[in-house]
Amino acid sequence: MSQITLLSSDNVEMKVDKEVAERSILIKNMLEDVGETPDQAIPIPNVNEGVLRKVIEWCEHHRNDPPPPADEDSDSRKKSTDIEEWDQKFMQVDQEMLFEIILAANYLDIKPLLDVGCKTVANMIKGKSPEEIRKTFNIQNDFTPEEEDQIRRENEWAEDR
Amino acid sequence: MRSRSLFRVSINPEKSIKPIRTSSLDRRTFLEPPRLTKSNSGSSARSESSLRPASNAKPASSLRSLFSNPSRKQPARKSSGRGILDLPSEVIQHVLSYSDISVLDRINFSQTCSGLHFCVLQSIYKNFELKIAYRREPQFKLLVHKKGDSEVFNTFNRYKHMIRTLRVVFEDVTNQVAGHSRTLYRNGEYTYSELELDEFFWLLSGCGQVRSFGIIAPKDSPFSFNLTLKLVQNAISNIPRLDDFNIQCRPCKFDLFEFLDGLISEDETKFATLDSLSVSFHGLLDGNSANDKIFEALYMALGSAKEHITKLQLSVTTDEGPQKTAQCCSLHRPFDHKQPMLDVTAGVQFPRVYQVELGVGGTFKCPERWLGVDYYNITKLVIRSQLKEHIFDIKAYLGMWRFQNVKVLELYYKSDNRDEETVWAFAKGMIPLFRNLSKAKVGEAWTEVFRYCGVKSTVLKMATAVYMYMPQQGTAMGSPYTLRRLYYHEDVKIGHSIPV
Repeated sequence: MSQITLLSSDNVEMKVDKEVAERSILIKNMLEDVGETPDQAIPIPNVNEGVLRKVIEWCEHHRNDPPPPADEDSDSRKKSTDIEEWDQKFMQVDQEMLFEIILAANYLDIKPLLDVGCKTVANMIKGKSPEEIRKTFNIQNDFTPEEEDQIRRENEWAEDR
Repeated sequence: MRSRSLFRVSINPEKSIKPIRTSSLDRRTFLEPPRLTKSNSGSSARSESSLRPASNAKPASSLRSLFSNPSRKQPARKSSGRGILDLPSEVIQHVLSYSDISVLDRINFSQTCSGLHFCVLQSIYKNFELKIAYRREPQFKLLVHKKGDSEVFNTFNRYKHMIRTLRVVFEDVTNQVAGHSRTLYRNGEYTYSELELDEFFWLLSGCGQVRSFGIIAPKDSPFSFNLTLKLVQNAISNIPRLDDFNIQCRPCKFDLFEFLDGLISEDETKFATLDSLSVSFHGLLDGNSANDKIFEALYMALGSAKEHITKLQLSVTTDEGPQKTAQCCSLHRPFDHKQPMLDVTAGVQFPRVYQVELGVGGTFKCPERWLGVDYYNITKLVIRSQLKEHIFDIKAYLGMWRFQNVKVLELYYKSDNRDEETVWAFAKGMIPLFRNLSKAKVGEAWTEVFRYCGVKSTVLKMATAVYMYMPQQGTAMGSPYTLRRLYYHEDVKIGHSIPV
């Protein structure tokens, strides 16, 4: 099994099976472009060591998964926020790591991991009031009372649809 | 006196159109992307564009630069302090797009801060379905559902420039409203307001960023839509170009040729980039020569736009019962225009089409001939069948053997009972029809009725399986291929009927 080396943004090298790394469409396309297994480490400048290790852990676990159907990905509206048990446990991390994983999945183009991350966030939103959502994600309310009132009126339209 | 306008803007251009009030909120939501509410220079230093790879681009140059330019490495960072506001707008939209995120969830989310409010607006208005109700009796009237105060359409007007995909959906509520003229009420409350035609025109005007436009008329629209559609035709005249056009109607109930011809011939440049066309006709009757006339009218009206289309979706459906069928035997009026008609069965109407979706509800003789495509060019074929017959009859009805170069096949159908063995046998029987096939997706839907604690409920179940067609392992080229199931998923929805 051929291996490649990934270099995190904080200069830590990690050896990983090529098959596992190719769960990332970004890396897969890069390797296809080069045509052979590179000797040098592949820099992943946007992802630090801790996050890259988590991403690789996920890719290792899902190395034998079939590629997701392209049309299935494009229409997540059809899908629910159900998450497999292993992925649920995998995503039991602090919020900072959760968002780092989502950003890394987005950058590395790993759609199923991005999907799991987005579902985790969606489950944190469901059924909560605006104040509860702010508290959950540590969001500062920057609306004036007039703006809040305007949004409430606007939302009557959306609610109506 | 009833308020003249729901939009608080003058309908008559002579009276001037007042600019919509721009509050500080408007300015912010229009101009600013999602932003951080807490100061964090480390995280904000990374631009959004650097996060997102171009999904289809081959990153050859990026690989070279990554290998050769170690200076791109960022300094080590112990804590990034990432939060939800660091997510790109499209990721937030992805989060909000799941089927079990309710409208209320989205609204609550939008009320948290201005950055997320902007994302939700984008999420709501990118693909917008504008529902317009109407009543048939005692006099045809367009209606709008009343909720809260009359500002509802002001909101739509404020943000309609964000809409990229617009579907205007007409909904018949005749049986839901009672009363006459201005006294429309349901359950003791006023539910609908009348929508004047000029108001409707104004509502649709100004959606200049729309690139995908659709009109969905109800299946059983038992009246002429001509006037309403003439308004639609005029209202969307300021859309510079359309990439996708979608119409669903009963063609016998309005002058299809007049509508499409007026839409297309007045501004051919609008349709010069038309890539995708979707046509869904209800109320057709097999064996009726009027059917061919309808398609002749369609092809004639499309004119030069036919040359550009690469994706074609056609759905034909009969009426439910014999009584309704009888009234659909004639067209709205004879096609008495002077130009010679086309023979729908002869010649290719859409020379560039390579992707076809054919939906059939009812028995038609060779409905694929109405597609007007070069069968040899079709590499992706999607069939949506509502035939009552056994699934093994589908291939015979639809002349699927014609599409010999199909590489990707999708087949969706209704079934009475779940029978995976039958599906498997069916897939194996169908697939040899396509010598170049590499992938097949088979989806079936069926309903089950169950009782829980004495309560009867209908459950819609949908199963989707994806198959790859590949050489048998260890055999030489040209040896028999085999099907391999790649993906299987079952979806359960309570209280739904079957959509195919």
